[in-house]
Amino acid sequence: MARMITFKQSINEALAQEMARDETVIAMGEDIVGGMGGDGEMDAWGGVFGFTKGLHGQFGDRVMDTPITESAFIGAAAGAAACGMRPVAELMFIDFMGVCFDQIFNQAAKFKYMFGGKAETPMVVRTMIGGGLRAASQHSQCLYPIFTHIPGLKVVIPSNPYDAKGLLIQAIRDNDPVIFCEHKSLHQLEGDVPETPYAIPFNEANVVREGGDVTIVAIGFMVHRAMEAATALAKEGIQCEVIDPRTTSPLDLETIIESVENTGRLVVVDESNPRCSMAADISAQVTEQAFGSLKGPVRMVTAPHCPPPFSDVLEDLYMPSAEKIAEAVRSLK
Amino acid sequence: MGELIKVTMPKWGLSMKEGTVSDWIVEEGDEIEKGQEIVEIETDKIANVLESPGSGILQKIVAHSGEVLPVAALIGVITDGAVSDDEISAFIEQENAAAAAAAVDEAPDPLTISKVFEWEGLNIRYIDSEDGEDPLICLHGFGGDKNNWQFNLAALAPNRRVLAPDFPSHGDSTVSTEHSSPLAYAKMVSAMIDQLELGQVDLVGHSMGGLVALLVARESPAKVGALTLLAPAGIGTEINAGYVDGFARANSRNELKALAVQLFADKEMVTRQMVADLLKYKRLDGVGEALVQLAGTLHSGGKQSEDLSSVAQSLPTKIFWGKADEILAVSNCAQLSGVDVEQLECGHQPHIEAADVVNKHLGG
Repeated sequence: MARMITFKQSINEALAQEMARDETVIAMGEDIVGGMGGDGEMDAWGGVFGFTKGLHGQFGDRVMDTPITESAFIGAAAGAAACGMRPVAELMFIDFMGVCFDQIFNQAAKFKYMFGGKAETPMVVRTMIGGGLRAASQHSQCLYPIFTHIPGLKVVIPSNPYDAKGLLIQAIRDNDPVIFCEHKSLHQLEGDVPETPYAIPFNEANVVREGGDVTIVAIGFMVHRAMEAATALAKEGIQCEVIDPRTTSPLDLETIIESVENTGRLVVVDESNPRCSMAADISAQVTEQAFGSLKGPVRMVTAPHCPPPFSDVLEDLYMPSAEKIAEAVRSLK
Repeated sequence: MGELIKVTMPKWGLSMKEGTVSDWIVEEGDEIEKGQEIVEIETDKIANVLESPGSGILQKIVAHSGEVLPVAALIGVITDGAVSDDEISAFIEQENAAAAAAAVDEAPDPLTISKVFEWEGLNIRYIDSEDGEDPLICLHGFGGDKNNWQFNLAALAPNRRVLAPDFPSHGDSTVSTEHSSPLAYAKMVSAMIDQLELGQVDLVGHSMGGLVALLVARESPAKVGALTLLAPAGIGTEINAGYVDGFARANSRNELKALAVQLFADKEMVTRQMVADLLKYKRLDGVGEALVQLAGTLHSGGKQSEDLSSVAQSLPTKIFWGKADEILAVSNCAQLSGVDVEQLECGHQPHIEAADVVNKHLGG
């Protein structure tokens, strides 16, 4: 009944529909046109992962290949946004964001505040996060907590194709700079996605599974690991409520606290390194605001405090697994 | 007939049951060589390019980009160029029939397939059980969709043909503020009867769908046999306008939940998933505007805009109404004479809350 498309296709569709709706929406990034004028399949391939495939054919020069200079094209996107465009910049891996921190932290995030509210910065930076592809330390990190820390930025981490389309459309229509994080292990995930455009508002967590014993908050790809754990735990008679915040800035703490007030137990699953992570942040906020509801300590399931390893065996140990999540839940008895 | 070479969905790996046609690299009419890359296929595990099984002209692309087909299904036909279009069509039909016969054990239930027809440039989605005589079209209510008949279609399908469309701006049909009134929906139903060559049909309509059914009967009496109306609009003048306008404007879980519980006598029937699905629907671009406009055609000054009781009296009509209906009060039928009205112990959703009774009447 439903129309099933992949996470990758839903990103492509959101971009195409918003570009068709609003001509101020432009796309830019390294190799996102992907070799125009080639033969057959080689024409306008749409970047290494093909997210932007076909867009150049539809929208011509509104899809721009940039030099391999993140600092330049992210800065250009911020400037274009301040001047009335709605750029969607693709910065291949979040790991590369270091070279353009100033453009994001000190420029895009600050324009609205430093220009007395006269400038808006409706830009989106799409970027890939996460492990599982054996891509080693510089291509596997989950650096969204760094951006969540900065006032003026919005941070979005979809966990499924439906959310990816609706959140990207909202990100493009939003008047603030948005860091849009796409987990590499989700690209081929299929889901039911309406063809009609729709926007999912920010600050609205999704309760993926209802349960009365333990609340599990999981982010991005970890939602699937948490669901795996919840299914296993249900067989042991433990009912987990799984919450996907969808955006870490703004964060829908209300839904999380409402759930914790019911269950009294909280496990936060975050693929980031643990220090100053979303796990640490959510744990602290819930502990401060709903301490009286907690029946035990908040458990954090995160990557260890080390860079993502290249070795298959070590990377599997590095990323939070369903089994580790289940263990954390069981420890709260 | 000239030579025909089948291009079929490949089987890549043991677990592959179906594949998606991503993109054709060649076009209809192109001359191609055996072994040439002709079409990109995606499976859940892999994307790859299919090579041509033979040389000739790609005369017909059967499966287009985005279509998902089982392994071995026909996706294109290569010929020597000397085959007529009629022969190609006959060949495709024959292949499809053979595939259907082969897959008879695992043929998908037609009630799980969303079909489409075009009306005034809009894609209208519908369910059609296909088999059987005596067609019955099920018309959903304001903000509902074809899946509202989930407890009815399977019960009725063995005994008669059942169909259930999504009105424009509802379910999976195209959103359109230009076609946002019960009268427009009635025209759509009338067009559906013609396009699908259904002849005379029975109609069952819930709430606003009841009003639409009455309008179809008024505008095209020859097309309608009997009417079954479930808590219908268009009978009497009372209406919970706050619900209608509230639903049109609601855009959060909490607002929608507070509204959804008014639909049922047993408030526990409203699940988080039901509210989540309503929210997904309300988020679609244009749906809010279309529903606000539609709401404006349903009532004015807190009263229903149109009383079609006389239409109900003009043909065989049965009405089911829940005594605990909070949207359209059962008192609406107090003045109605000459029509069989059965009051039930339920709320605004007789087809869900009292499905057995309704199904029995409809021939299930």
